[in-house]
Amino acid sequence: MHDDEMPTAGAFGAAPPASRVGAAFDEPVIDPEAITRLRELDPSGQQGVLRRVLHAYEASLARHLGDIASARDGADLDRLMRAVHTLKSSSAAVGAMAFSQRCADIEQAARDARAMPDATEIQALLGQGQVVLAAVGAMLTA
Amino acid sequence: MIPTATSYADEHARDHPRVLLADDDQVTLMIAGAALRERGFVVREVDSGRAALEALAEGLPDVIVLDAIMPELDGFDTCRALRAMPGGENVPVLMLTGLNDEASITRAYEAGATDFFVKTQQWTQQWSLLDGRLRYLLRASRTRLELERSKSKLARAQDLARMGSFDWRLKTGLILSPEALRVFGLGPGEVLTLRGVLRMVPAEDRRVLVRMLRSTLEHGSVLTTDMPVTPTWYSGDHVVHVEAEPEFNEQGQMVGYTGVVQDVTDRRVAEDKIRHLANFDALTGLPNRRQLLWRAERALEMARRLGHQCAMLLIDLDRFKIINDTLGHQSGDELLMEVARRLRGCVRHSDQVLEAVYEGHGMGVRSHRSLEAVGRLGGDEFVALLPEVADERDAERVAQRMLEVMREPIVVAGQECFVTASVGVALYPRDGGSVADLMRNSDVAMYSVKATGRNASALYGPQLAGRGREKLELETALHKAIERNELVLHYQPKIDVRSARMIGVEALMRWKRGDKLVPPGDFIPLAEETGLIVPLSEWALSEAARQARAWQQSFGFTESIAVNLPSRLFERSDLVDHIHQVVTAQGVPHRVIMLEITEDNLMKDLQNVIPALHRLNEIGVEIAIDDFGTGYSSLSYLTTLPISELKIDRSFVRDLGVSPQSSAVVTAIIALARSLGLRVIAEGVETLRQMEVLHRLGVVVMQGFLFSRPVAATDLALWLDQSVHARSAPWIGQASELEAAADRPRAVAGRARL
Repeated sequence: MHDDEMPTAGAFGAAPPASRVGAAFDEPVIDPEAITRLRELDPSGQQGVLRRVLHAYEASLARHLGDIASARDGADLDRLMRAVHTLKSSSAAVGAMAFSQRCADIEQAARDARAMPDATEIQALLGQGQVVLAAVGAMLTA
Repeated sequence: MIPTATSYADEHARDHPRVLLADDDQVTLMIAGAALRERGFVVREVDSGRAALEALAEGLPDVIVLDAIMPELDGFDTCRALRAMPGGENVPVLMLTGLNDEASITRAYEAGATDFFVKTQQWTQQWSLLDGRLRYLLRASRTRLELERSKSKLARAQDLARMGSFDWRLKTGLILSPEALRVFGLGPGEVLTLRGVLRMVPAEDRRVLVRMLRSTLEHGSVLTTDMPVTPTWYSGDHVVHVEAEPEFNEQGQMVGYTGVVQDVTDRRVAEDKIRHLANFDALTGLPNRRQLLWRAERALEMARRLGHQCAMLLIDLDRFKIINDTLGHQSGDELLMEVARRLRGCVRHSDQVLEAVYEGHGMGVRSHRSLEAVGRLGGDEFVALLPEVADERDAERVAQRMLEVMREPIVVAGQECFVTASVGVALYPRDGGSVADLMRNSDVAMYSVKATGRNASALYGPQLAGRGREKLELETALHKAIERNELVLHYQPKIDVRSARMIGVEALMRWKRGDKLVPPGDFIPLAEETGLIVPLSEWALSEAARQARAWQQSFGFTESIAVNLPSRLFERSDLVDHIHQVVTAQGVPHRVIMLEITEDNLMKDLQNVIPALHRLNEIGVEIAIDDFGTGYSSLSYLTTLPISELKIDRSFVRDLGVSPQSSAVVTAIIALARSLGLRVIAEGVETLRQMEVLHRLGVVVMQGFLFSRPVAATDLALWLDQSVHARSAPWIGQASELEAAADRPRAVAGRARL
């Protein structure tokens, strides 16, 4: 049960190749420090906190990436803003720091401009999101 | 200490606060929840504002964390809704806002949030920050709650103590707490200015108060005062205690006062009552000993300073104990109240409790006059203090007035009582330089009045010194004589000289005081004077009955024991009952007790004594008249009295054969007795010659040293054996001879009758 639900320390702590996506970024997609912090919230692992968080994040990320694509297609600024706002915060919480930062930038720019960002920026965001999603998925199946 | 259930619950709540966490992002919610849980919080997670309100409706947590931005009902609206809930106004709310979102911070406060917390990118990795913030909020909230509680406790306590606080500022004036307003009879929210307060103070006190307030302000000193107030809202004076301290600003300038007011009317009333009880006699309302001595000290001080004389009068009622004994204590008390009323009318009596007043204010030169009073020392003893007299005549005039006011009869228990008093006067400085000296010497003077017939006054003089006190000591000792079993009865036999038989004994009281045996002449008059004769006589009666029983058992004694009683005892309605009780208690017949009353005594209270004599006679108690022949009484009353025996006074016996009148008197008494069918007995027979003459004159029963001195109870049987039964005493032979020549004396007696 324990082993089944909890990724081992090695799976994240040693930064396996699966979590190193995108040569453009020197730092890992998911910050192992953040994972360590999360694991500290449940030192015995009995609550299965880390696993549940990652599952929730995976579901939330997938849904919000879909929202972002729809908002782009329908030019729905509010929907876009809500999605990036949520992702900014939850991504930081699981250690997807670069992705979180990109969400924050887009949110800030969109709020300042009161307009939809460029399609390329949204595309980049979606792309980066997919990378994070893959990394999380890899962690969960590890 | 063992923690109580409550304190344990409190402690648990402090270590494990309940937090409601609301965030629409599942991930944040989950992580934050886990983090807070890990830090000891009991967390409830909800994912929307609506869900948060639902959770709150079920019960309030210790602290709430709300994400500001949530779909539908956001954090601000949720907070607003919470504040509107009952009890919801006190729960601390921490609003989570985004970075660079100052508008949200403002909105958070406007919505009623207690504090905000910025979600930085790292916030979910720095839980100690959130933890610290939450605990700070909880602590602040708890402190605020405790403050609220203690404020309301204080208000309640102040209310109970009829106390309230106030602030007075030079610039803004007076502000009173609702409790303080209540002290002045106003409702919360009503306005009371300093001027308004002063208006409640009676004019004369107000002037003093204003002066004092001014001086307090000038010096910036602490204010402590009691002010009388008469609020318009109800009648009766109140006393409000004010206590305030000055407040200063940073520059050290006084800016106002802050303090408390308290309604101390009840306390003041109680204090006054206590002061009155401590200083005044409860029965008569006159100053008591304590107050009187205090006044006397002050009066002497003034007299010393101003060089005048003062006087102390000690007034003691004559025979008050008789009134108390015969009419009862209730009547005695009524009488004392009336006496008090009359006596105080004889001086310029001042009723004030002077202590505080006198010491508190500078009084005029003649202020000592207000010390003048009549006080009650206790019992039937009163004292009048005259703080200034020109000479002794001044004091004597007051004493005379006192004696005069007593002349009018006092009606108690439906009876008119005539009361007299003895007054002793002592003057300062002539008769004593201290209060104690004056008290003692007025007492001595008073006793000298008692000794010389009462109902008069006397000035102290050195020739009186010592006498009163000796008597007083004797009286005190006599009081205790009964309880200490110091009294004994001695018995002197009565002899029928014809048959040489003992026909009875007379009981004579002795007082064993230390090693000495005090003869009756030294303490019976004092006992009569002080009223102690009553318990003494009662004791003698029961002792006689007891002795009769003891002798009956040891040698078959069946005769009577004669006990001397003062007339006062015959007036007591319970004398018959008392005798009945003492004889039945011993199982002896009533006739073993015989009573002797002196002729003097009998004549003095004849009308009051007669009913008792009849009743005693009915139950078989015989009465003898003692010292007969000395009273200046008409003999005719004897015919109507139920008496059995006449005892010829010893003075006639002593003079028999010396003065011819003596035998004439004796002869006359015998004749009278014969005609009335009374026995005659001669007392004080000391010689055979006396016995012979008496016998010749017709007296057959005698008593005296010739036969026996009064002896202790245990010696009586011995005397009977050795003298009477052995027929060895010299008088027995003589008596036989007399009996042989019986005809001759009878002839003499017969002649005397002619």
